[in-house]
This record gives sequence, structure tokens and C-alpha cells, in this order.
Amino acid sequence: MERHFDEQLAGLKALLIKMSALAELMITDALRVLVNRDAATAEVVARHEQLVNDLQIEVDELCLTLIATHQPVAGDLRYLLGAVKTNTDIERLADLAVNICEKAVILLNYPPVKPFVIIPEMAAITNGMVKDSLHAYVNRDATLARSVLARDDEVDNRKRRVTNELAEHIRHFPETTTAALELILVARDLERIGDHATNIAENAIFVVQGKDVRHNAELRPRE
Amino acid sequence: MTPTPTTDIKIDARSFSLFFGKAIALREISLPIRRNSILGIIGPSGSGKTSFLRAINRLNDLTPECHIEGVLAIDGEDIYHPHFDPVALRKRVGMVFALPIPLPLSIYENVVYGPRLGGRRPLRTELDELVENSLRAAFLWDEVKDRLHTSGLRLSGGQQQRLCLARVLAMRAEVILLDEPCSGLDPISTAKIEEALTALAARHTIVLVTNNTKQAARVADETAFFLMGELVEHGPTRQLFTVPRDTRTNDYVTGRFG
Repeated sequence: MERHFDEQLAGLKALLIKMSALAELMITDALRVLVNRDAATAEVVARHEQLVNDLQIEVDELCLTLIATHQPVAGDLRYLLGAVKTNTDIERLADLAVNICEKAVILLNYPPVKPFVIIPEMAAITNGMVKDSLHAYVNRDATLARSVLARDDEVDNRKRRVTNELAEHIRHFPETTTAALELILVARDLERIGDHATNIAENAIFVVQGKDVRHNAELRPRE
Repeated sequence: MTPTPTTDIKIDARSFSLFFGKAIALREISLPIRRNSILGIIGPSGSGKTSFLRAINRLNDLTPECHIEGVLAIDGEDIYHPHFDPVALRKRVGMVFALPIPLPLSIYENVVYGPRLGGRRPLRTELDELVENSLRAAFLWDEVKDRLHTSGLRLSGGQQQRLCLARVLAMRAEVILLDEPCSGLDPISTAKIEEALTALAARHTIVLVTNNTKQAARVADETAFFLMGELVEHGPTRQLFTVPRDTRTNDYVTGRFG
């Protein structure tokens, strides 16, 4: 039976998809500012951040209204709790895209440190994670969600490689220290974007299966 | 005297089926109900939840062509055994119905009506104490203590329902069956009944049939979901309303059917 509540949930889903799509775009654009040294795109990222912030408030208000008016239980309750948490994660990862963009703008004042290889790879992986985690959540797909969790290690490994390589670079070329440090922070921001996508994927698993997989909770004995 | 409890299961249905002629109303229900707890029974109309409730104090006995299979035991004793006395059963198992039906007597007389029927004539002081204790336990005492001798029919619907609950308590029933006890009540009266039930569960085994799934979620320790005469799922209330095992339970509690 299609309920009025389902129509409202569809509205919520549309808002989250829009938010997530904007956040993905922001990550891509932040990388364009960084890699292509394209200063103009930084303004686009800032504009999109405002849209994501507005959507965050709209999603929270809608969740609050749906919880208050429908007092959902079971699958509906898990979906709405998941929406509240996912909403926060998307907003945070949009913030991280802004952080990357700000560092990219600072780096425009310095000559390129070295050719970009690993950082764009990290961005590609995290963008895929963001997209898939959100799809796993809205489409209640636990298999897709678990594939996102598996990818987080790939991002973490690359972050370590970037940090080590840049530390080595600083030793040989101390004059690049400021720029190289900014790049290390960019890698850290991308790693955190991966963490937020992981959170969203964990939410998705909870929504679909009712299992809490955070912090290896699956391995802990239950009462 | 009730025999000393040897198990924490008060009521135990084992492969219990109920038939009205050839029609099957309950199909092989296996449902243990814990002593001193509240079991909520939910399910759409026609699911068998009221039939199951009425089976616990054998109210279906007089329905023509009604017969049962399997076992329904209280304190380990099969209540459908030919030698089991249904009258004695109903003293131990009280029932509150959807529509409160006070007797056309005073509040006081409503409460003592049952105890007066049984055996020796109780002393006035014993009755006074019984009335106060029963009305207190039903969360009604403070509202009626100054007018115990006015008609029970002059109470509000919510008060009448608590009077019916007090009547059951005055019989010192061990098991309280409630069939939609709040269906006609406003939220405040409903809250008072629920508060009384929660307190009573310390000393009684309560089975609550309700169409209001949120009520089961609020007060029941465990919840059972019935559908078309079958028990689909039974477990801790928290589980049924957060992570139900069966998709039919999920669909029912989220209002997709029923």
C-alpha cells in the first residue's frame, strides 16, 4: 500500500540526492582549482556550499516534521534516523571540499610542487564512495554500502603515501615546505571525505539490515 | 494459595489451535508469556488476537462448535483439561473489555461485587481496605475517594474503565486480559490506564490486545504480531518496533496494511 508518508519520504530522498550531487561536484571543482590552477572555479564551490547548507536545514526540518507527525517505527524509523545522520555527513564533506578549495587558492601563489598523481586518485575514489554510499542509503542497498566500506582502506593508504612522499620532498627541497604542507592537508581532507562516506554507508547498512556495523560492532557479542 | 512459581512462564500456548466449526481462528500458536510482564498483541482485525485473548479465560467455550487443539497452560496446568474448572480459572484471570461496563451500583459496590459472591461474607473493614487498595492500584482512588457511594455510571469513560480494572484487581486476579481497553478514551485517560498497567505488571501478568500499535510500543515488555490466525513474530517490544525479523511485521507496524 502506498502511503502519504511514502510520498514525503520520496521528497526527503530527492533532497538528499541533490545535496550529495552538489557535494560531489564541489569535490570535483575543488580538485580543478588545485590541479588546473583554475581560480575562477573557487567561487562556484563557495556558492554550492551555501546551497548545501540551506539543504541541510531543510532536510533536518523535514525529518523533524516526519518524526513528530508520523511517529515512525521499524524500517521507517531507521530510515529517518539514517537521514538525519547522513545529512550531517554530507554537509561535513561539503565543508571539506571548501577546505581543499581554500588550500588550492593559497597554492596558486606558489609554483607547483610536483606533478599530481595520487591526490587526484584519492579524489576519484572518495567521489565514488560518496556517490555509492548515498545511493546505498536511498535505495536501501546493503551490498553497495559494504563495497564502500572496503574502499576506505584504499584512500587511507594513498593518504599515507602522499604524506611520506611530500615529507621526503621537503627534505630535499626545503623551499617547497609551505606548499607541500598545504598538499598534505589536502590529502588529509580527502581522507576525511572518505570517512564521512563510510559513515553514510554504515547508516545505509543499519537502515537496510538493522545492524550496527560501526566500530566493528558486528564482532562484539550482543546481549 | 497460588503454588510457588517454578518457572518465569505464566501462560504457555503450545501448538494451540482454535476452531469455530470448520473455520480455523488460530493456527498452532506457540507463545510463552512471562510472569509479571505485559504482553502486547497486535494485528489487523480478523487476525485472531481477540480470539486468543478470550481463549486464555475460556470465553470461547459457549460459542457453538468451538473446539481447540494443542495446549494452553497457566502455571503449567492445561486450562482446557476436562477436570479444569473454568469458574476457578476466571477468578484468577480477569478481563477488561473495550467498552467499560460498570454495574448500575455505587463505585464502592462495583468494586466489592465480585469478592462478595465468593465464599464467606467479608468484614466491612476488609471491604473498605479492598476498595481503597483496588482503586489505588487502578489509579482511580484520588479522583473518587470522596464519592464512593455515588453511581459508577456517573464517572467519565476513562474513570469507568479504571473502575472495571479495579473490579478485576479486587478479585486478586493473577492475570489481567485487556481487549482494546483505551479504544474510546482520550489521550489523558489512556495515559492513566497505561500508567496503572505498568505499575500492575510488578505483580500481575498482563495481556493487552490493541489496535493502537503505538500503545503496545509504549507499555508492552514483549509484543506478539498476529496475522490471519497465525503468530508471525513474538519478541521484545524494542525489537519489534526497531528491527522486526519478518517483513510482514515491518509492513504492519509502519502502517503499510491493516
